[in-house]
Amino acid sequence: MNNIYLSKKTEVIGIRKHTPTEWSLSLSIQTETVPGQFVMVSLPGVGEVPISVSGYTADSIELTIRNVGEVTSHLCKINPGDHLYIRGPYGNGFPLEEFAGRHLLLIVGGSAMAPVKPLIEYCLNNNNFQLEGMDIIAGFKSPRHILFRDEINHWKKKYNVRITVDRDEDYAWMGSIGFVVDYIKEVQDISEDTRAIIIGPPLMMTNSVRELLRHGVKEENTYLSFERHMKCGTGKCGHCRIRDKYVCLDGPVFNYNEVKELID
Amino acid sequence: MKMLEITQGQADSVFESLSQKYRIIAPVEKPGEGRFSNTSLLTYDQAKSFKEIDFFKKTYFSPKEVLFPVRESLFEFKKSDIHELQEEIQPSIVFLRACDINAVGITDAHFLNNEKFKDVYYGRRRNLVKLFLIECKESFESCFCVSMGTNKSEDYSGFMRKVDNGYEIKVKDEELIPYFSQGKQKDVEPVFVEKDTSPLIIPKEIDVSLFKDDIWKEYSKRCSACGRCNTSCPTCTCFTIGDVLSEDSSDSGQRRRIWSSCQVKNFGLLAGNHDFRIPKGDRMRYKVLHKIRDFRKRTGFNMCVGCGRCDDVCPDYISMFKCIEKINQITDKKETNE
Repeated sequence: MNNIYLSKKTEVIGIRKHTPTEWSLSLSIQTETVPGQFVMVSLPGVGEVPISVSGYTADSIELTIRNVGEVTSHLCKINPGDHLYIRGPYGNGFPLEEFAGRHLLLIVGGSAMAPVKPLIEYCLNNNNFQLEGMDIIAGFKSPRHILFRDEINHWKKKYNVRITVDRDEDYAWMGSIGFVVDYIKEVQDISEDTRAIIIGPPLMMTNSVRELLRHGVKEENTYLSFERHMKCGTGKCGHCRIRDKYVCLDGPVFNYNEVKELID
Repeated sequence: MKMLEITQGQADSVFESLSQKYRIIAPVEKPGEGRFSNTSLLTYDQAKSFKEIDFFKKTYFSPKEVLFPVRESLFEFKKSDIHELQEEIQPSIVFLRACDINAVGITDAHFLNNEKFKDVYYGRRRNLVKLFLIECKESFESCFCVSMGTNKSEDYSGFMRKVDNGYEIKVKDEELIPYFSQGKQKDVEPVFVEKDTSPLIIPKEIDVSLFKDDIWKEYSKRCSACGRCNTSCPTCTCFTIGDVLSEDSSDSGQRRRIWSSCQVKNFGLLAGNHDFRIPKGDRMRYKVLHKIRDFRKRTGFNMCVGCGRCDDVCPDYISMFKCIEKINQITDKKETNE
């Protein structure tokens, strides 16, 4: 029997700082990742946490870490050449076959940009994966909290990208201000066929779903990705269970119809 | 298969030879370890003779530790390398009532049989454990195994009944038959409890509207979130994982898993302090509905075996039994209205 709790030693090959508390680590590891999946990241002696894969190539993955907990605060002291332990990727990832040929609408809050980024890159880089177009509405706390600025500029060449901030402390922001939910009405191409993906804080997800349904997006075409406390990533430790679903096994991406009656 | 009756003397020599290979784990009395002074505790532990085993009383604690220890080392780390631990595990024979044998079936489903990933640590212990059935003369107070359908089991290596001058035994496991060479041949069949003291109906479908029902509010007030119900339960399997450093080192130690409880604070706490199920009534709902609905949706059978231990151990006199009864009343009322 394969030991599901053992991880692979991997080398940190690059670090990118986005904000003082958020940065991306590139790790040298070969995986078969689907956009939307996560890995369990360990620092022996400190602990293990689930982190979304925010990018991948055939022989590397990128993880975007926010310094909010015990393990992540140690992860932010890592240097290139250091080692981390990885197991996974886990979870279902996005149902790409459902998205092919459709209009996609992504609604993203803050660091939830991390699991969405590989999906956008997948759509950009796979010539045989055609879409009817994509709208991205991403919200951040303030201009200083914006992640993946370079990538966003690149995405803008092909897709409609709206970046909005909750507040602009520096009065130097030329873009949109307000919550993501306020900008849903401005998306031109919403139709019954639109596939909507919403990822972010719980309240933002609830409000966005309500607004999307009001604008004609169908329940069965709406997808959410959940974040929960996890210790194993493999359906054993019980912490991420919501009713009869394990976020680590059955999610983190769920169709809205699957989860509208899930109460934590 | 072999069925026989043996004397106390013959039983002593069987025990002697079995213990060469197996740890024999059964309900034993621990004088002085009860909750009050000068009382004893009946609990699962390694028995030193068949005589020591109490065949007639229900244990306070469940036997699940044999398969799923409270604390278990997963691996060792030194500097930045990790090594799997090769712990020697002695085979054991565990004496269980029908409900607890059914509980092993449930933990097997969770750790090994029913899901994509298999738990190697549980599997390793499970392979080395043989189950011996013991009978219940009648339903104990607070038990409701018949209602849960866990009053019977055929999944045992052997069955043993204490009689006046010795034991009646049925051995099914070929590996164990050679140990029972002495004794008189006799037809022996276990008798199972057929009636609960108070029968209970388990609702088949539970509407999501029950989540907002007022019944949970009572538990928010009464529950003190000690987690005893989870620790005494034979099928609660939640755990947390943490790294423990060696006393003399800052970069070597062990990663361990430890039982955790959905009734205790911070079970669902996310980094960044977002928490779920803060009112204790919500935690009670989470636990109870897992036991009688959510687990069944995944596996086809209920997680609660009706052993009643959670009711026995609760310091706040909260009863799972009563809670299921209340859910049933609400569900019934809805169905009649419709």
